[in-house]
Amino acid sequence: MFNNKNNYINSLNNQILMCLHYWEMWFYPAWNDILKKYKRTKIGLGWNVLANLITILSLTIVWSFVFKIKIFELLPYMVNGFLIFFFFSNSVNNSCVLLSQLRTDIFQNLPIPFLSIILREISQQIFSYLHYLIIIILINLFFFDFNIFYLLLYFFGLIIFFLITIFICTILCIVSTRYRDIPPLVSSIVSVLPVLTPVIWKKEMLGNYENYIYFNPLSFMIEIVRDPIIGVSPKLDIYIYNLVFLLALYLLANILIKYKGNRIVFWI
Amino acid sequence: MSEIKLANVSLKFPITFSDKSLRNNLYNFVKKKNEQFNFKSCLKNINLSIKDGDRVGILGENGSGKSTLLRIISGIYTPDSGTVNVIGKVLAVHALNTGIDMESTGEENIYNISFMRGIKKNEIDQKIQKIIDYSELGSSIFKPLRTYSSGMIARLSSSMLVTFESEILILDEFISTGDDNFKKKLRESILKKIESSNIFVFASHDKELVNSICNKKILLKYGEIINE
Repeated sequence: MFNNKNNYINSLNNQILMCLHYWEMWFYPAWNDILKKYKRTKIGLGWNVLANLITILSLTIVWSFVFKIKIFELLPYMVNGFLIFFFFSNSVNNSCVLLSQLRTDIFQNLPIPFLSIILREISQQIFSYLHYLIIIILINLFFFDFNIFYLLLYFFGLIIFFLITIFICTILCIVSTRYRDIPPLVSSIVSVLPVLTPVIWKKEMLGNYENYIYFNPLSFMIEIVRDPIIGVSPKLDIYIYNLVFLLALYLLANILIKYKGNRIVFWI
Repeated sequence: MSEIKLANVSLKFPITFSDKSLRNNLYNFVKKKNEQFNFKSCLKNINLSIKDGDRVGILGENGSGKSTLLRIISGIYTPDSGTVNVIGKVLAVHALNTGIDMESTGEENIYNISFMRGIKKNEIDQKIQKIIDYSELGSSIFKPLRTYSSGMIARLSSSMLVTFESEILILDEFISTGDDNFKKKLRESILKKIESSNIFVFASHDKELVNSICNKKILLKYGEIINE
């Protein structure tokens, strides 16, 4: 059991260490949350997978006619972009209501590190995303030659993406618990993100304005995950943008928890 | 060796925010209006020293700050001022059914709640049969909690409580639940657990119960210790 919460309540670094030591605290409940979705159904999360794949396939067919791109050229691009976007949007939307709706009693009655609640939610979304992994790898093998280097780059990009999402969700969870206008605001922004991000369109279509997409951080986040799996090596500067963004988010989360970590429980 | 030391601890709750609306907060910020929060002073200048062997009962009316004090000791709340020093493994029970998931089975709930209390898997694997036997739930332990009665859920939660190990036990109201036989068994187990704990801190309205269990009593009124 935990001793003396004051050691970690206002320290993100100590919470990270605690969550690494007491990893079962968030990992197993997240796994249990996923198993629950299979209860009393035949295929459980398989319905989500099916629904999302049908959506992506339909959009691909329509977009291939609209943009006059071959379906088989667009399909791996859309599948990979959309699937990682679904992970991001679900994580971000759920994190805004984690403390105010989903895990209220736990945070109010147990001296649990705040970060463990975020990790439980993100882990659940990662497990959902991993349902698509076999499809992603099959599509990659079908459309492109197997390349171990690109596969490793894909997993590396995935790890960076997950870490960035953790810190975005940490910040949003804190701010959303304090200001209840944030969840609907975030939900509105996330709903238009597929249009503002090259998820359903290619950045090359913007011509000379191509690089303006990087004002939207999700653009360079998605690139390090999608590009290796579709056989494109992302540029080094894209990785640098991601790592700088990760560092900025880590520092911001650190500051928020340092100055407001002990007040979060009173905002619920 | 266990110890609880509170020095000049004070805490205020923000009772009502002027507004949780971002729009109104931004408007006030632009117009340079001072926000007027309502703060309730829950604890004022609490000084407490509890050592090995102490069984402390905290008495007081509703709203006197008993639960707040317990939450500060267990680490859920941080005081606005003063220092809190707690040495020892703490088991705090503020709400018996915290973390209960109605869709999961009894066994899954035992694991989940234990993990959330920071107990490692190998420790739970060693204890789980003991918890299941104590609860007397039989094969129902493998059924989802939505099929349980409220008494069965309380049996499950209290079975975990008496099986978890701790050096410092904190109870917000004495636990008494289930049918007569289980109530008797639970009372004996909790009293045994109190005896085996280094420190026991207990909040209650029941003076007779506190007198029978505790060797030290604290009376709280309006967030202050008025008698010790």
